[in-house]
Amino acid sequence: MGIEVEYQKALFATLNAAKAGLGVVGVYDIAPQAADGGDASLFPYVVMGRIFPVQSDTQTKNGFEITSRIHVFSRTGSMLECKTIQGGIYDLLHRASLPVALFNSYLLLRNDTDCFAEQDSKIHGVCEYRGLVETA
Amino acid sequence: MAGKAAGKLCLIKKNSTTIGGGRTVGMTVNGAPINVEDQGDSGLQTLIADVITGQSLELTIEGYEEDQVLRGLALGASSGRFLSDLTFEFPPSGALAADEISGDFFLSAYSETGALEDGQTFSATFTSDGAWTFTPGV
Repeated sequence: MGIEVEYQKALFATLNAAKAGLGVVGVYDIAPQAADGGDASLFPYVVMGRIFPVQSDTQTKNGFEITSRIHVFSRTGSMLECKTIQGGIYDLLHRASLPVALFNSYLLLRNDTDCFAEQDSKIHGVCEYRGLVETA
Repeated sequence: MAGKAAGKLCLIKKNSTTIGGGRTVGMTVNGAPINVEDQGDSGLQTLIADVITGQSLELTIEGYEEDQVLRGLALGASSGRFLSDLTFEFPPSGALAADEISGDFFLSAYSETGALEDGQTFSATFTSDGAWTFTPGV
């Protein structure tokens, strides 16, 4: 598989394994649709499907600089839960070694984080992580 | 027919193996003529024909450190910095095979940099020792 799939699999495995500790109901690339605007049973959850690799080769290896956007959705009426989950993901991923099959993943840093209110009382957190990988 | 060439195919090889991690590879030919300008030359530089001093060839490579080959040479025994198995390959141009330079070289400078938000990078410079051989691709 290519880096897009392998990187997503690695991110999913890491986040999903820590689901209970993070306090989220699910980790998705595309979140399931809530039954109605008042249904909070899916929340809080994480969406991590947006992965943007930019080629960063050397003469002897193929490499990628990858930006992955991790969304947290909460519906508690305040930003505390969302930001707490974002902090948990930071502890999990920032400066961590992400085991990406078929690739050597040698750098992972959080670039930025944001949290804001959306319609339907949703709180939406967005964090971007930058990773460097090369073919193993 | 000659034509433009991809820079990524410009390679420095040691013992026929491409040095790992290179992203920018370069070569510079150096040398100076002898200026024999005198009062009769109206302030214009005048050079002895066909004489060049201090001729040398400099090869450079920089990129992401991958295989520790150059680190080992730079920090190992002095003799390891004198290299007789280095070749510089220009990228093949059009249908022509790659031009190549070979000869004896000295690893004159080597540096590595570890930046917080980047991979480990390196830079190396080789300077020629004696004559080199330029083999045009055909």
